[in-house]
Amino acid sequence: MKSSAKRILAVSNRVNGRLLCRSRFNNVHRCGLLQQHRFLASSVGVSVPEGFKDTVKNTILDHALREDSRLWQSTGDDPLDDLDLEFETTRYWPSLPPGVEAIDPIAISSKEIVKLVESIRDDMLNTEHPVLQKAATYFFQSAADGGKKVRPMLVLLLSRALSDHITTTHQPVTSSSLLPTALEWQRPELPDLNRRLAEVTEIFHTASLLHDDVLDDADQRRNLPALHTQFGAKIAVLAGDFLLAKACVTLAKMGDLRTVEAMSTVLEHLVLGEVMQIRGPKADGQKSRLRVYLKKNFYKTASLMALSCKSVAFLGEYPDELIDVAYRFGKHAGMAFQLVDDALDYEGTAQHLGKPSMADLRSGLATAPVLFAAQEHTELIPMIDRKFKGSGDVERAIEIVFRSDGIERTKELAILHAERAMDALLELNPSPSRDALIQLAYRVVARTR
Amino acid sequence: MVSQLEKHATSLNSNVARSSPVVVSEEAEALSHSETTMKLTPSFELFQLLEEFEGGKAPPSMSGNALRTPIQNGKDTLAGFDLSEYLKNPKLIEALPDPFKMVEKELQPFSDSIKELVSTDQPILSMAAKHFFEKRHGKRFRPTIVQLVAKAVAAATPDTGVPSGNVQWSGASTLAEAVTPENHQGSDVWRRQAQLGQIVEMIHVASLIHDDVLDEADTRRGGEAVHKLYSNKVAVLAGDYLLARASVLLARLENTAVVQIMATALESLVAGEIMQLKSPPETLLEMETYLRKSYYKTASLICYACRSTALLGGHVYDSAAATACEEFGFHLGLAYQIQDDILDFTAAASVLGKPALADMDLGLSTAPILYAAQETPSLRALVMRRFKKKGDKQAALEALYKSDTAMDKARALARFHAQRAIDALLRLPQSDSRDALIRLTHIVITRKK
Repeated sequence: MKSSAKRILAVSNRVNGRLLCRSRFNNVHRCGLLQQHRFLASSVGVSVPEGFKDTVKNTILDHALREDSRLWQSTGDDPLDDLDLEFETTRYWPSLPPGVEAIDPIAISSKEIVKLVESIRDDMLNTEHPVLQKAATYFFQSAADGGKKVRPMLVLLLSRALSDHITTTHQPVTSSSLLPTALEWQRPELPDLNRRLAEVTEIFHTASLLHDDVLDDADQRRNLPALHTQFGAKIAVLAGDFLLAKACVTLAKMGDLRTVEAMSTVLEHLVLGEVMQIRGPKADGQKSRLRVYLKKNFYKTASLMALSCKSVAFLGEYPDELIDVAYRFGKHAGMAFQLVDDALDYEGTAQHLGKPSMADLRSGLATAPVLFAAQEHTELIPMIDRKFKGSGDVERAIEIVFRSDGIERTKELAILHAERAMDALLELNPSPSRDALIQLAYRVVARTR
Repeated sequence: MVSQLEKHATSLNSNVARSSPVVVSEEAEALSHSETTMKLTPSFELFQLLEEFEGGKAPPSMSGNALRTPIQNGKDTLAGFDLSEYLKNPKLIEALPDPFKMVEKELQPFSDSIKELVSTDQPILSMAAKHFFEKRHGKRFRPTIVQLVAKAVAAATPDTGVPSGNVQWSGASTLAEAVTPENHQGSDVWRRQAQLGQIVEMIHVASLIHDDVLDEADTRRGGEAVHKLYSNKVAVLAGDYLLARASVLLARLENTAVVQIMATALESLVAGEIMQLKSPPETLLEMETYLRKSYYKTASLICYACRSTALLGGHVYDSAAATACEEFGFHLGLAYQIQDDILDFTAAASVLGKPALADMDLGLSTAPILYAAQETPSLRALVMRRFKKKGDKQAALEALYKSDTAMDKARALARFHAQRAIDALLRLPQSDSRDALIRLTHIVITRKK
């Protein structure tokens, strides 16, 4: 073959858009040179160079950061400027706040959670396609595996706590009768609405996990192999989309506009958090690095909890003060949750967590322990900036962090957030479900897994 | 009782008593909604997929397709429009308004669309961009349809007599004042409908991008593993961002029925992609499978967008106007896809002397091949094994070219759907926009690239 023909073939083989196929090679070399030129000309009109596709996608991500940069500065009416809780000290830890009963949140919500998992698996996600079925219900096989189900627990317990705040005579809270019947101004189907909201929350969370695992190329999730290792990245992504779509349908069927808007905002926040993590804003200075990290934590974790708690208040048509209580509780509980997660990444082992430890560091992520440590050990800063890619960075960083007070300070910040969450709840009248939620916030920071 | 009717409809509608492989099971659907929520039947159970002589049947009347009375506001100069006349004499269609020119200017301000983000001076790149977003056409196909449908339904007064009478879930947006063709342009309704067009575009591009995600097996081929893996991350994130943005914008349309319908459209896109990946071999030969897959992948987004546009315009879900819109979108979407599949064989062939064969490379059989396989039994095994063996594609092509009828039958199928689309449009009162849509339908099946 002539060298010019070879060159054309080389280019045409690299051009690998939707309409071009690898078998082109077999056909093209039989054409004359003139036809090959025509082929290339027409192929440019109908095919997409690989590099261009990436440009398009990267542009979309740039748009996410640029156009919506207002999202960094504030989220609606919450400027997110109270996340580092500087100058605060703990007040209750290690005890519960005074007057709070120690009620086990898991015990009183267990029946509803089991029902929730079954409802998701058997009703909402029941498709007749075997592959999609397996992929979609991967994390819903039983209530025992597949995560702690903290998020739906928050929704269900909060719905009861808000109701009991209003009523003077409390029905006893048992695991068979957790959800409150509707008060006279509320929609009669309120218990079902709360159940659906809890399902939507858990499904949004699971869908984001499916995608995140593809993004991180993770091997394990919740003591199971990551879905994409079993079914391939494409099915994992599609299953995540399917879960999202199903959840959105359920959300829409609930017919509450404020809830729909709040939960859609969660989706935006989840993506924004991921984008920030991957190509985040340039932070200069220690303080701003910490703030950016905390904001990213809000978007990635706390937002779902904050806005789903807020939605509980929307659905119950509670007054603004209670909506604010719900939001603050969810937000600070979520921040505490993620901070403890970040601390456990250093302290826990793979067995305890169900996911690999030191994962953050190894993927170049600087979380609270290392950010706090860097305030004293400035040699960490260049390592942070190059995402621990230098040879020996990860080992050195681990060693420095354990020498420093980074992990303790992370835990302390977590406790401060948990106490803020408790303070929000303490604005509610006492009730078993309120105390169960306070206990839950407590356990979030007391846990070792 | 309703679900029994639908079970009956399903069995009437299928040649083989096989339920749709991906749609949520009937039990699940029955359980997931109540009196206060809307039930969405997949559009291929509402409208006809195949002509009678090919085994298709007209679906029975049910919620979603019951009202098919023409809405007349005076004389309709295009009554009884017969597409075949306009195909014999192409000059005739030019009497109708040009659809793209009609809405070009008013679509400009709503560019949340990605095309503007990647506008570039490089002619090759911009051609590639046009292809990436709109195969072979480069114009804003979906937003144009939505905009024209919006105008067309403005001429129809919303139905006051609705079968259900239950306004709570009628799906219609509550309007400050009744929409008329005179006050429509620039109104809040118009703005929301234009926004819906952008949302549809976002969902469409997001699904294209997610479809691009490659499995690990593919990434290792060709030694470009690292690049492709990074490409995966970008693809997942970019698609997620678009979907998240679309959800938020959807919520702001303030119509939960529209949210539900468009979320179901997203679900359909995912279902279509998965159907394409994993289908039982026997089903690959059936024309109905192919049409259902085409519905999921292409027509669903368009027809649901059309129904939603009517709802935003104040028409209730079951109204004659909304039904006509969805029926139009359904048949147009199918006609578009069938024509696309025909062009896959004919368009590039006329330039190159060789067809593009993109679908066959993915192992997919489209209308022309399926008709050829009906005629040539030896082709069936090749279809069922997705052309995996060497020489399969060649053999299939030869059988297609040898057949006198296969290509003609495919064209006839496209024409059948185009005519049905126009029949649905004729039930709307005559207006420039409605006539432009008729011309659009003509363009869809006569385009050569």
